[in-house]
Amino acid sequence: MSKSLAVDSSTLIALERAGLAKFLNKINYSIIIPESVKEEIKSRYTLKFVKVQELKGRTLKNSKSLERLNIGKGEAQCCALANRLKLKFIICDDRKFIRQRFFSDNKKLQNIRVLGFSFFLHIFYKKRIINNVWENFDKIIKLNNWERSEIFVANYTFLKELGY
Amino acid sequence: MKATILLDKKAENELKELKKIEKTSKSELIRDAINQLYLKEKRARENLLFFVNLYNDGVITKDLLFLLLPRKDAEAVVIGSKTGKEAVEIVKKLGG
Repeated sequence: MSKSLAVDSSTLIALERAGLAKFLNKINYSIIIPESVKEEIKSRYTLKFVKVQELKGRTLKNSKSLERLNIGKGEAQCCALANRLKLKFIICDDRKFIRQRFFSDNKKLQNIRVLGFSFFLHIFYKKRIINNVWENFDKIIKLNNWERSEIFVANYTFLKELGY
Repeated sequence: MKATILLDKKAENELKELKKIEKTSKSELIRDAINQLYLKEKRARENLLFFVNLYNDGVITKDLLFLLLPRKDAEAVVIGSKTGKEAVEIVKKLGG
């Protein structure tokens, strides 16, 4: 059975720009996105590889409570979706969200960990879909203007700690 | 690569003055300025990577980082490092 991942538009757009979104259907994970993330992704091509889930009831309420903390709608819905799916993380490369989470003392927000695009690079490499992680890392950083940012450091640290 | 550079009045006047002193053309002055900017950014990027490695290995502390780097860069290292390390824990729990 494939595992689920709640993914934000920032990561999907980054993969799309680097031409890596096409590999999303080759991994053993189902990519689930909330409605608001779907609206942010303009490419129909990428949407082919994801499942859109509408938030209802308590999940929607959870998302709204995060939005009241000034969290972006897409990220808030991803967090609520991750909670619903009993995941302890979301995949997101939004600098503002990462900073908000770091400085927040809200427990709900603190309990959600944030993985970045490098998680997909790790999976693609393990599946032998790509053969050079750092080349793709540099490409994504450059295409998204993430040099000298939290996103750069987080993804770099992630890959280094995994031994790349 | 070609680029069109639009100068405001202040920059135009500064360039005129520089041209008089340096006796070089405006385009040369602009090219020099762009080169300097490029080198500064390139150095800053390499510098950041060096400090990320030191911080991740526990060689330097957060306080030292804020003393040695511009605030924006130091924050990026501290926040990014914590986020990245937490992400590794999750992946290890997921089974690598």
